[in-house]
Parts: sequence; structure tokens; C-alpha cells
Amino acid sequence: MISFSVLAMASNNYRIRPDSINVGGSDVQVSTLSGYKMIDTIGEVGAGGSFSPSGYKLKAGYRQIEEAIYISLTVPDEGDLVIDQPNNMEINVHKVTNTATGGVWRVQTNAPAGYTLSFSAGQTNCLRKDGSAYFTDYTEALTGTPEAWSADSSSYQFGFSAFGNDVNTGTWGSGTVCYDAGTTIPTNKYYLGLKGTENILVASSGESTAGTNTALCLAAEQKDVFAPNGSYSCQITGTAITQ
Amino acid sequence: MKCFQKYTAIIVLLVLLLNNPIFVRAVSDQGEVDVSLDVISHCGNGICEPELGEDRITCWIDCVCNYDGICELESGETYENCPSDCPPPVPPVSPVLVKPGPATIFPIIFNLLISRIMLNSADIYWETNKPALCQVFWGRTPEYKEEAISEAAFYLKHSTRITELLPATNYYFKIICQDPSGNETETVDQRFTTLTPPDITPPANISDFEATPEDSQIVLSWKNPPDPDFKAVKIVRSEDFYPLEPWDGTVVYDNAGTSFVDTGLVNGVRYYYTAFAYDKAGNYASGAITSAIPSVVPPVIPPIILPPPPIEPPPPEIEKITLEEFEFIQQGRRLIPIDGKIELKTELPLSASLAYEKVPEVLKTIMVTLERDNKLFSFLLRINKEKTAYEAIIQPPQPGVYPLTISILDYKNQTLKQIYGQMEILGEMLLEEPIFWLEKYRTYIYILLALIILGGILSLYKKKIAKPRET
Repeated sequence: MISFSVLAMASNNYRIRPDSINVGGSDVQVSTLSGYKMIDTIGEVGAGGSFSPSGYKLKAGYRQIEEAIYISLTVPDEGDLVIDQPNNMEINVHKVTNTATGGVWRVQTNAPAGYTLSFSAGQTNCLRKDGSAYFTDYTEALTGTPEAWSADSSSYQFGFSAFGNDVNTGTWGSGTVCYDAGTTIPTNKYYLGLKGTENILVASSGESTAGTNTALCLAAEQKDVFAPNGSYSCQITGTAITQ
Repeated sequence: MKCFQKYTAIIVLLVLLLNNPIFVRAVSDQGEVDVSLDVISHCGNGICEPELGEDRITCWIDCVCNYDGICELESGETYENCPSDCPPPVPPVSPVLVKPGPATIFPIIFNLLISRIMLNSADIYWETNKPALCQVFWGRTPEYKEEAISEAAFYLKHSTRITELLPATNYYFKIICQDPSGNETETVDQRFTTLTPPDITPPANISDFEATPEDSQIVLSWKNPPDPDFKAVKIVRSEDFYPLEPWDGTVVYDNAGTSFVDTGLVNGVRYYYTAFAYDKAGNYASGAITSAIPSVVPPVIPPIILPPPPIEPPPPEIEKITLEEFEFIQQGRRLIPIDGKIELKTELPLSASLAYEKVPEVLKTIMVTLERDNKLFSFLLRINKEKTAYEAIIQPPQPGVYPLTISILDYKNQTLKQIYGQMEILGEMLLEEPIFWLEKYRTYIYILLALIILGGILSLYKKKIAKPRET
């Protein structure tokens, strides 16, 4: 048996976990218990005591001190992402989500390096009505850079913004509500168009969290034209990944 | 040996690295949410509605076709969305040779389309399978007596616009087409109905509007107008003067009843009420007015609501106004005052109006008051939406003669002029519009006729006396 020991290394973005080189073992998940992995080694010098809970006997090695990494994403209630403020879809008047606090996505993770939260849609021009009509994705002046809401002339457009403790205010604006008392978009909230299935980074953190909220704001507007009558919908996917 | 051990270690290291990477594997979680938006719009109903701001730019889906007879492919017109302008797609030529037989004799009329049906016009489009000269016969009955529209040349695609139609009216038409060989065919009877204009006619005012004062309250009672689309009465109260608009004061009642007790009032204060009847389309009558002063002890004499007479000469424009300047119309017929008396029927609403240009801008209120059974019932003449006249619609009371007073007040509620007359309300219908000069000189005509008849009798008598003398 050839054995090496490697000191663990870490930085703000990654950590290299201590492992061992021996005749066998794996950190491939062998248990499908939600959010947990079982990682084992074979042939290591036993350390610590052995225990046998529930009929199992395990010779514990040094990997027993490692905790399972998990991340969970709680999605908002769909009722918080209905675009209906103000009630009527007036021409040249933007319409926003029905709650000033937006649709709240909550991330929990024990990953020491934190997480990222991104959003994507099922397709480009996601907000559609039976496939026959759709709101085009909001077009920002500088592609990929959120900006103060300003829909293009002769179009009806749909876009999003966000706020939260892990949302960069320089990118998405410092505002902490989706709309003010007049149901107008605050000038300190910046909007971006979804880009189909492309993931757009919205929030990130460099440390674990017991629960951090990110609020999604949505807006739509028919500029100089009438959007055809009907019900439009779009599926937005949030993806939280540990770092 | 040492070399062997070294290479073995390297190989084992590589194998383990490939199977056991020394980096953390990321963990992720995902979730989906459906976002929704309801657009309530006229755009997309298939009708181009310019009055709602729709045009080819703002609502392409409804207004892509501009019906100008020119197929504008660059604007998105196709045969499917604009058959009046664009020809149908050419069917593929069959490769099978068909022995030519007898030619089709009669032209075929197809793709008949009636579109853009408006208040006063309608467009008709149709096609023929070969060049044809067509005529459209139309009218308000299947006899098509109104007009015959004829083409001047042979076409495959045909269209015409029928104009000067009456709103909310059924029209019938048929099309007859003739090919160059003289073969003729016609459609079966067709029909369409022009649009109904919006209801802008207010109901008549309520009648018998009375205010009975009591201790700290006033009992209001009235009769609702008989209009079939009558909805409710809104009564507005003020302590300054009669409210002139439905929103000019405090709304104390808004329902379809016929009485109401206004409570919580201050004794000794005069309260002015205007009752605005309105219909289901939201058209308000000009207003019926009354006022009262609540008191602990009811007054013996009902409070007078008629404005006081003017105390100084009115402006010249007001001075010129007489009863004849007002238009009194019942069932579309103008009623002419004769010696200050207006004859009308009891069952039909009466419209009273004064042309806007006859009064100066300083004018604020015109009130019409009828006196009946020692009570005064007053109505406001309110300026119409077109700002062409001051108008009121009144439901006449039971047959009888009623003194009539028209009061013209300025913006300070000071009386500028009062005009007096009478309304004689008959129980029978006036069959024809009275001839003005006949009505005015009826008495003199009767006297003249009597003189003529008397003169004729005397002449005959003289001849009879003279005849025996000659013989």
C-alpha cells in the first residue's frame, strides 16, 4: 500500500478536502439520502472508535469528521409572480408583479464557499400566449447589463430585476421594492431580459447561509402598440449551486 | 527495484486521480415557477377599431388589411388575412390532360363577404370564377328598392360600399353577375343589420318632487320617470343652492325608490335638493329641484322655492328671450306657444330647450317651474354634451292647466329674468303639428267666415225679394 497525506487547502472560492491515496475508497455518493453523501475509504488506519447504530458496524476513519454538503432552493408562490399592477394593461404604461416585495426565492446551504443563484426561461421570448403571440424579452441598451426600465417603441416587452442581501446593488440597483406606491418602477431598480435557457447570475455568496432571500421583480409593457388579448405565461427556473 | 516502485507509485497515483478527483463536487438545487400576465384588450378580436386607437401599427393583427384593393405583401397582407385586396393563391396546374368539354355556362359567385358594417355603411366583397359585370340591388326589404349599384367593367374580384344607411336597420341585397357571353347568375337573398348607435338620451326627470320638513329631517318623495331604461335616481344636497350636476354636492340617495328621509339636519337651515334620474347607459336627466327648512313645528305655508323676481334690468341678450325662444318638443313635433300657452299631451315626455347661443356665458341656471295644487315643481335646464342647448325632459302631469315660470339665473344665483306662461296638458294626442298662422288668427277667421256666410244669405234674400217685382 502506498499512502500519501495531503494537507487541505482553501481559498475564498474553493477548498481542497483532505483525502487519501490508498487501495480503494471513493467519494462517489453511495447513499441517496437527500442531500447527503457517504464517502468511504478502504485500507486506512482506523481512527476514532467504532460504532454500530441500527445494526451497522462501521470502522470510522478520519472521513467521519466531514459533514455532508447540501443546498436547497425554495421557490416563491406563483401568486407572487402574477404581473397585474396596475389592473389594466394600458398602452405605454408598464405593469409589474402584484407584490412590492416580489417573488421570493430562498437559498439554504452549508457549503463553506457559499452559492450562486441563477435564473433562466424555457425559451426566448418566454412570456407567451398559446404560442401565437408573445412579449419579447426586454432589450437592454448594453446586452447583459441591467438598466432602468425603458421598453422599446412599437413592441411589448417583458423583463426582470432582483434584490436581496446577496444581490449586487451595483448591477441590479439599490431599490428594495419591485414598485413604489404608484405602482411605477423605482428608478433605482434595473431590469434585464431573460435569455432563454441561458442561466443569468443574480445572487451569490462566499459563505454558507441558514437562509437568504432573493426577490424577483417582473415587469411588462406594451409600447405604442397593443398586445393581443389573452393570458400569457412563462416558466422561470431558478438554479442554486454551491461554490 | 527502486525504479519499479517509483513507476508503480506513479501509475497507482494516476489511476486513483482518475477515479477519485481531489476537488469538491458541486451540489445544486432547482425550482420552477410559472409567471402569468392577463392582457385585456380589444386588439385580437378580429375587428379593426380605429375609434379605440387601433391601426395597422398599433394592432396589426386586426388592422393588417386596409381594404384599399391593393395587395400590400410588404405590409403583411395575404389572401388569408385580406381577401378583399389579395388574390387567392394559384392552384397547382394538374398534369393530367382533360379532354375539353362544354364550357361552364354560368359565372359562379363565391367568397361573398360583408364587412365593416358601421352605423351608416357596409362593405360587400365577392369573387367570380371568370370575369363578370355585376350589379348589387339593395334595400330595406327583399324588394331591394333603395338602389342598384352597377360595375363599369368585367372583374374577377368585386367590392362595393353601401352608404347613407340608417343605424340599427335591416338591409337586404342580392348580386347579379353577367359574363361577356351574356350568361347571368345571381345570389340568393342576403341580409345584414347596421350598428346601433350608443344611447345618449337621458330619461325624463322625476315628477312631483316634494320636500316635507320635519324636526331635524326632511322627507323627500317623487315619482320615477316611465322610461324603459330608467335605472335609479341620485339626489344631491347642498346648503348653498340647487346642485347643478350629479357631483355638485352631497349625495344623499342613489336608488330606484320613490321616497327618502334625509336625517341629521339642522333646523332653520334651508337645504336644496336636486334629483337626477339616470338610465342604464349612465345618461343623467337635467334635474328636478326642491328645498325645505327643517323645523320642530312644521310651517303653515310651504316654503317658496321659486327664485325672487329680478330687481334690475337684465343684460340685453337675456332681455330678448321670450317664451317663443324656447323649443318645446313632444314626440318629435315642436309645440308653438299661442298667447303664452303651450298645449301638450299627458302621456308623452316633453323636451324643453333653449339654444346655447341665445344666452351669454354669464348664465348659470335656467329653471322651469310648474304650479299645481298650490305646489311648485321645478326642473333644471342643463347644458347638453354637445354644448348646443340647455335641455330638460319632463314627464307631463295629469291633464290640466298649469302656470309656467321660467327663471334665468346668473352665476351668482341672482335672477336675471322670469318668463311666464301656461301649460295646458291634454288627455288626447295632437294629431298634426298645428299651423302657426291658423292657430294665431283662428278667432278672426271664424268671424270672417261668419260674415261671408251672412253676406251670402243677405244676397240671396235680396234677390228673392227683387224677383217678384220684375215679374
